[in-house]
Amino acid sequence: MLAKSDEIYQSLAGTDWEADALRLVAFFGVGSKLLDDSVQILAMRKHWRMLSWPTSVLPPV
Amino acid sequence: MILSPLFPSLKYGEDYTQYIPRGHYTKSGALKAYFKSMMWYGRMTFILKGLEPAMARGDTRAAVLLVHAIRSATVNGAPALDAWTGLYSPTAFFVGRSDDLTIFQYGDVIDQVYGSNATLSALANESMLDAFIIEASKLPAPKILGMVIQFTDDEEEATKGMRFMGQRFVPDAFIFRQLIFRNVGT
Repeated sequence: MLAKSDEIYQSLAGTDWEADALRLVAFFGVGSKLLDDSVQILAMRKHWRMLSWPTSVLPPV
Repeated sequence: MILSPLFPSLKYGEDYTQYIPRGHYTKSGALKAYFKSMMWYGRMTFILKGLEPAMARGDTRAAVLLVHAIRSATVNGAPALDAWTGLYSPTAFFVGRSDDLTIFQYGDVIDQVYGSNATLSALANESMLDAFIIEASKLPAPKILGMVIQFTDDEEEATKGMRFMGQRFVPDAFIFRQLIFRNVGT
């Protein structure tokens, strides 16, 4: 689901739905990290600031 | 309670103490991880209308995309929906069905509003999203309060939404809920 949501996010880049598509990536990113801390979520780090979220919640690479 | 950067529609934030493993989930690292992950998927709500409608609209966009994602994803070569059902069904048997709206209920409304097999570009449509919200509003609200709200808030608007692995309808929790404010005086 993390990979599929990332794929959807890439497809919706530049549309009004981009930010919420990224939130979906983040949703599955958090769930995946809780299950396995080694999971990498590069799209989240790359585009995190687009959502104007605090850097304190920036995921580690 | 701390505000969630991922779910700003939760006006009063999230209770992160709920993520501390308890009971037999403390017995191994794998069980602790399972507990925290399932708690995340079971608690975080894609609110339909909410107390902050603009933010809830963003939640609903994400929920529509989530349903599209699980319908099109595969897990080890099998449909992701089958994997989800394989996880949900045993827990529904032992604990109870979801008290929150599910991916299947949202999926039915998506098919009704957008037509079956709608493409991603067809789904990402703001006017169709309005129609989706109207139709999804007809779905039932949770019977058990599973998040913090103010006593002045409209409970249905504040709590109705989709959860990926929703909180279960547990009869004793429902009965207890009927015996406290707002159903009885203080």
